[in-house]
Amino acid sequence: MTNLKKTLKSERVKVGKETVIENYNNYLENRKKSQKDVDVDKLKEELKEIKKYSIENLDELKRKTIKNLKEQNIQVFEAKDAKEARKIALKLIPKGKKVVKSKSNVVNEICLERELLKRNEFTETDCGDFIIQITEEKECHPVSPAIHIPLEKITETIKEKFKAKLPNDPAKITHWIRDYIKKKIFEADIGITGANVLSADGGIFILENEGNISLVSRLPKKHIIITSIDKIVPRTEDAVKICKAAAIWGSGVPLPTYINVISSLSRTADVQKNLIWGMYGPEEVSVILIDNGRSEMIKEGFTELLECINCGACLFPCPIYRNILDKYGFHYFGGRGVGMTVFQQGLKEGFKNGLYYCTTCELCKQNCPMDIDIPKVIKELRKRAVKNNLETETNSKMMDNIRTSGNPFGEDVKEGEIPDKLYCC
Amino acid sequence: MGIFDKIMGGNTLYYPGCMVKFVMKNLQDNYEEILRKSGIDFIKLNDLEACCGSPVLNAGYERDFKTLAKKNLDIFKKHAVKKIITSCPACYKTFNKDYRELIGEEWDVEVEHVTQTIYKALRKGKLKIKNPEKRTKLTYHDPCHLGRHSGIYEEPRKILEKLGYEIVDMKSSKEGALCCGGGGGVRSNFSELSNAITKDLLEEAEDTKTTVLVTTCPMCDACFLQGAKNSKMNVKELSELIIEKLE
Repeated sequence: MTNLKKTLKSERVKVGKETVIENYNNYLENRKKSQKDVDVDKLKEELKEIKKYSIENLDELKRKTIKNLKEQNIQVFEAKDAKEARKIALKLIPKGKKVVKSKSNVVNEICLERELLKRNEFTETDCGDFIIQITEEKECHPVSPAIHIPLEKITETIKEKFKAKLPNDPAKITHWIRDYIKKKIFEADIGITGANVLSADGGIFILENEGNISLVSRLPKKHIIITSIDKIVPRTEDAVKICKAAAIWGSGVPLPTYINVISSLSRTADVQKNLIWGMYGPEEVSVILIDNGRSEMIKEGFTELLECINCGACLFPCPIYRNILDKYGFHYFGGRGVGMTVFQQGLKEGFKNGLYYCTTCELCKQNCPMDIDIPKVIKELRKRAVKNNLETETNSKMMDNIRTSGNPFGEDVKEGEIPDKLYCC
Repeated sequence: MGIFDKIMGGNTLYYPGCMVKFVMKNLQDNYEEILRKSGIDFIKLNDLEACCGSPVLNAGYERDFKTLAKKNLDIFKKHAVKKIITSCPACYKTFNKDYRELIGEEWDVEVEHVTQTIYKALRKGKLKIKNPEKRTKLTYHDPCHLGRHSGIYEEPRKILEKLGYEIVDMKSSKEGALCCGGGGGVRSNFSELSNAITKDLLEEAEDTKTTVLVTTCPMCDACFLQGAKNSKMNVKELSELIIEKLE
């Protein structure tokens, strides 16, 4: 179990929490502004419909996606779990090659970086992810991974590791990082990205605000896209709707700065109409499509976990997340992160990483573009925990009280005093 | 309500809920007095009552929840309970939503949160209050079970206004109200975490520049009372403010 006392008092949580709370109202205002020309209820309804259909018809849509991508000279590999995905990726990435990567939750999920750091020159190109990489920290949010790292720590690390002296100024730091990373992208042999959406008609959609993904996916000779089966939707139009929602709820903007759509290897037929593959884009594009527990989620009726578009809007208002950040969940954070943990690392790991932290306050649901009822999912998973004899000591005592005296307090209550253990709610 | 109506229409039960009955006992006395003065003819079941099952369901004990629901259904049937008035938002949500979902049509009990009852009584002039002398500012916390879970935001606010208070909403209120730190078993299981959440809310309350934080949930009330030891806020449960102003 996480040492909550220590986590609550830690500097990283203090900094992260301050950033979250300070920026939250701004974000809400921006989100509202970005919805100005959008029929939000209609968009939400359409998104729900798209995701529901996609999950119900996943096998067929997956086959179609793979077929369409392969026809356009994109290699596709399927991986049933993280280990298999790592194996496929490492086979595609020869030792010693220079690798750059953009933000991808699925790449984190399969713990690929750990392996790459041992055998390749590896650089994160998302500004936040780069800060995480050099400070050897852990990311704490899917969209804003480094909000818990103080400025001083960033400048100290850059000074120590790169001998560059920078003031504690966000703009100066960002520009230094930009210049450093840009050079790394130009030198790279292989670019790794994730994907926000795959459309079964053959499109790979990758959103970004920084501009790194366009470069990572175009400049190196090889592009590897690591993503998961729940990202598949039927059509290009559906994918665009998800991109729009991800921008609104993820960053509070009406559109992301860039939407990359990749549907084939770069090509030309300008010389006497002879089709030649591999022009200015990479010469080889591969997609690794992972399952890693997702089919089980569907089979067991936890499809809501897969409706998520990873915008992270559920996290900022979450009372638990605000106070312990990434310690609530594992590869994915918050209540949904706990749900993912249960199916990817097992019920016991879910239990250890916050299955009982959720206050069921529903602020997450209130903020979710997909209306995902995370507290309901958590409560269902708690039922599973109880059936598997995973109980907290406190709950087990509460249940003794209920079973013997019909109320959760039993004989423990003294008149006029609020007891330490408020077994209720 | 005459004896005939009672038989035909059934009884109205005031269900305080375990938090009020065992921990925040003064609130039970308050609400009973307010209901009586509102002209509500209600019964009490005292020791016959069992937990509604909210903490049991939240903790994942499905079988025990079903047992409790069955037990309560039987007790209510035996006492011809046709309507429940409860002062606990968690019990309200459990009876109104979870019981309906679990039991289906057999659960034909009307469920009311006490703020709905009181607001009706105030509007109809059945509950009389002293004319407010001046409008005092305070802030109101929407309990999750009452607000987001049940959509009741207006009644408590309107009651407070009728009592002569001016509500200054916190930065996060109504649909976006913060959690008190007490929900889902977090208070009993992870007290440090719960305290940290309570502190976050108390800080937002302080930001309103008012000095009184009022809520209408015994769990929120208990969390705030414990947390307020280090806060400027004076914590009140709605009934305490009503009692002060009863004629």
